[in-house]
Amino acid sequence: MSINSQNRRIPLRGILLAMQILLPFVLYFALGWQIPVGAWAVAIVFLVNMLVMVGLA
Amino acid sequence: MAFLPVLVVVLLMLIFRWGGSRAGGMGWLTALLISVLFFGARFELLAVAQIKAVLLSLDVLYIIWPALLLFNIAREAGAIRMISYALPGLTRDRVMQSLLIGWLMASFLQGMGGFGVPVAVVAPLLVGLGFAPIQSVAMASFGHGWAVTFGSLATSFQSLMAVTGLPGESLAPLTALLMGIACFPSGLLVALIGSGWKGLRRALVPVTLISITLGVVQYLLATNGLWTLGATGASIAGLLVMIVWLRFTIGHQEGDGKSTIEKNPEDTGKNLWFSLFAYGLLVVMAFTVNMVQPLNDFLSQVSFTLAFPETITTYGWVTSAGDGRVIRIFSHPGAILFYTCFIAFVLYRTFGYIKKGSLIQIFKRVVKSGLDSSLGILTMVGVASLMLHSGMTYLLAEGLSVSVSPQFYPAVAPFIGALGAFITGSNNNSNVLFAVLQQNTAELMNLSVPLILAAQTAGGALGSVLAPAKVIVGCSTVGLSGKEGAVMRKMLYYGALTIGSVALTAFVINLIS
Repeated sequence: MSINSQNRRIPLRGILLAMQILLPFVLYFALGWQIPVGAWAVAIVFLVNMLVMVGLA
Repeated sequence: MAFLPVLVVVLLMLIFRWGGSRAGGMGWLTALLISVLFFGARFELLAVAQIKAVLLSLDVLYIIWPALLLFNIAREAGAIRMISYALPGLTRDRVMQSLLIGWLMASFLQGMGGFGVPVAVVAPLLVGLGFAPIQSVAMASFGHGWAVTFGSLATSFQSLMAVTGLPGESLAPLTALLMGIACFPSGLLVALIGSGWKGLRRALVPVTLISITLGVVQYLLATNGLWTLGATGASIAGLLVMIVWLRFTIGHQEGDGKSTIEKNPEDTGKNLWFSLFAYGLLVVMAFTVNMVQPLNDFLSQVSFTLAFPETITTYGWVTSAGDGRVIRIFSHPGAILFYTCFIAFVLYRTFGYIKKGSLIQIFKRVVKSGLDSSLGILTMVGVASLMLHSGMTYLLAEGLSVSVSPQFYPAVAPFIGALGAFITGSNNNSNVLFAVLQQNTAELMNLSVPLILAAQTAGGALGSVLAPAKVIVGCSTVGLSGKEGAVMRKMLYYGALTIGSVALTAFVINLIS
């Protein structure tokens, strides 16, 4: 893999990392404020985030 | 089924050579499916497990990022290069050079930075001094194994505390004892690999003397709340003893005080001690914040945690309600690192050790090395948390407790820790993955929990140096890319000896206690 393509992946990894950290907190408050639809929506985005990460070579 | 998430991580990393974050992600997805399909986990349980995992991860990431920042600031100021110039000039004796660089310098770098830095920096230095590339990678790897748990400013130890919920005060004594015992085989192996049996015999006295110094200093620091400085402080003390030893023995007579490594022009006029100022400052800051109680109380006023409800699976596995990991924002080791980074950068910049505009380069390097390890930690902690909350970890512990005799389990525990580190590439991840399993097993077997956890992290530390991820880093710096298999085969044999020594010690401690 070229250095350029590795560098291009850094922002994507940064976004994935930020989502991995922030989404569970959003989930926490969605559960706490009893917004089940919101909690499920956040959980699905988190799952998609994880799938993207797994697919990242 | 309960072992499948771990097995998935193992197979993906070892056979398919996936990175930690990607394999951890797949392990997390496997754990998610199994916990829902076979362990009766429901949405709320999965959510709580993941939120707790992030809180635990933040506690560790809060150290990793500023530790990387400090290391890169010191590196930019020329600290690593200055050490490289100074140390080889102390002696021309090959055995002493191997101990000085392959053992003590590698350990010092592990104390400061870690994350593969010791092998990446020390292996090419050893090649420069005339050691063969395979020898150099092996020496640099084994040389710093003892310093891994309390190295990288004790991130692995911090994880051990975070996932088990036990205070550092109860875990530190036995962990420091086992890691101290590991100093001796680490030093001997460096001499043996570098200079053969003859070298080993000549190294016996200095290695014994320095091992005692390393072990005692690390023990004193770790058991007095300064575990973040355990490996750094011990390595500095070890280096000082080595320098004194060289002054009074044959090594000094053969040395000429001049470095064999050519100096970079931009380091002209720089002072070794000032380039290392950042780490001296860290020692002072950590001592001050931990020892001056009014200051500690003042900085500990702001803390962050979340309250979690009780969770229960459809099969009745209960995790009680309670607060998650408490993070004291301004007295956390990560905060101390940030204060140090700020002061060190300002001073280095003022005295011209860091050029204008270097900050962007420093940040780029920090982000590059921090992103992957952070993603890896988040996913691995996620796997461990899901397994814990759905009852998988307990089931595995129960299986282990009936298949291994309690008398022998302390000798098995380090190998489980080593396996975790070998798979995941780090002592930290091994602790996250297996510490709770080991804790549960110890409780079921009525064994000392601190002893088994000490054995877990000691095995993890010594096993991490054998991990493909680290060996690849070492090989890439000495022109051995593509020959990692041969290097690992050579290292596995020696690695079993170091882990075996810790296993034997844990076994004996259990017998006499």
